[in-house]
Amino acid sequence: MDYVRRKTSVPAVLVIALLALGLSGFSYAHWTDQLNVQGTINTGNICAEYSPPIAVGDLGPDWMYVEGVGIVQVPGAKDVGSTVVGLQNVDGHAKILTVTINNAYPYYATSIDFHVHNCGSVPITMYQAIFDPEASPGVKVNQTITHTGVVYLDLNGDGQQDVMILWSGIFGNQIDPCFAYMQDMSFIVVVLQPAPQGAHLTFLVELDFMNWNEYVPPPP
Amino acid sequence: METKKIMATFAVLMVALMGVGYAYAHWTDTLLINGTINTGSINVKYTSVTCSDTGTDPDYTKDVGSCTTGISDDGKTFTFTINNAYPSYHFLVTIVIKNFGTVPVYPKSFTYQTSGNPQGADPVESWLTVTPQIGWPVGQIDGGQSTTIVLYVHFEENTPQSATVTITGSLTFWNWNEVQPP
Repeated sequence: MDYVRRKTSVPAVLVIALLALGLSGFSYAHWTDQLNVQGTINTGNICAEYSPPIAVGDLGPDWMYVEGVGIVQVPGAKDVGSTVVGLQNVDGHAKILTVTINNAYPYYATSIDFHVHNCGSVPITMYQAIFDPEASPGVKVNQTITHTGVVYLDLNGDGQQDVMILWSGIFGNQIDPCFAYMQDMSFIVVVLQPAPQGAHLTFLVELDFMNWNEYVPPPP
Repeated sequence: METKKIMATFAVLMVALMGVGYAYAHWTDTLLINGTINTGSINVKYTSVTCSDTGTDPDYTKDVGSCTTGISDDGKTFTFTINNAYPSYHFLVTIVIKNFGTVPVYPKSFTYQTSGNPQGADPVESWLTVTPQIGWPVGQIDGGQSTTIVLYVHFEENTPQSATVTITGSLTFWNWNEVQPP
């Protein structure tokens, strides 16, 4: 009987199994210890709100805008127009400043001084003011300003400027979270000659604030 | 070479995305200013125009000349007709103007034209004199208020005979604050 030495795969399978078991055994067998990191991040928030009092320039006899001079009260000025301001709360914060000008006429001018308070925990910066066309149907051109200056608005869509707003709110100033400090801002509304008589005109301005550290001053 | 192109494209894309990410990533809050402007109005009308000649000619004993007046439906025009005028015929015209608007007005200008003066006659201004007695120059008229103007009308000696002269005038008012008082 011939003895035939036959090759078999049994040893190879055994070796592989041992290796696998060895590895498994290693991973289960060694002593272990571990350190953990448990992180908690409490993010801050930004929150801007108006803070009373809101001051109005027209408290009696009217003020006029005179080209090249500015806002003046002429001798014998009459109390014809009037300006009323108010604040509306949204989620517990004064978010809307309402300005109502009654019985206005060409070159009637009124100033509004207001304060912005940081009701959040992260410093904020006002970076732009948008005269919003969607919220103000008459305003045909979305105008965004990032510097103090003058904005003309056509409030009835007839192609003529009805109102001039001289904006003195400061862009880029940091307003820290604080109960005491508030940013003083102001603007002047001047009714222009093309403003229609007996009309009800509206405008909406959005004042946008951002976290202070990402503010990039726009080119002059 | 192809690898470099891919890397460059990738780098540009990353920078662009960073830019977009920056623009949208910052926290924002918004305050609103809600403005309402109710404009006033100016609306002046004649409310009354009368002549002092209602019969016998003023300061005379005969009813020779006559003066009649009227106001248009919209109150913006007053008409007058003087008939059978003669030298030294005279009377007073009283005009009441009311500002039906809400904003004071101030007269800006008064203009007039004449036509029909006969050829060879002296200019109308030389034979028809109108002298304000009261209320001229017109001052400010507040909203809802009236002012009264009294004019003395006098025909001079050089008044042409059988003439028909038409006078049209216009008194323009502006909102009070844009007129410099004389």
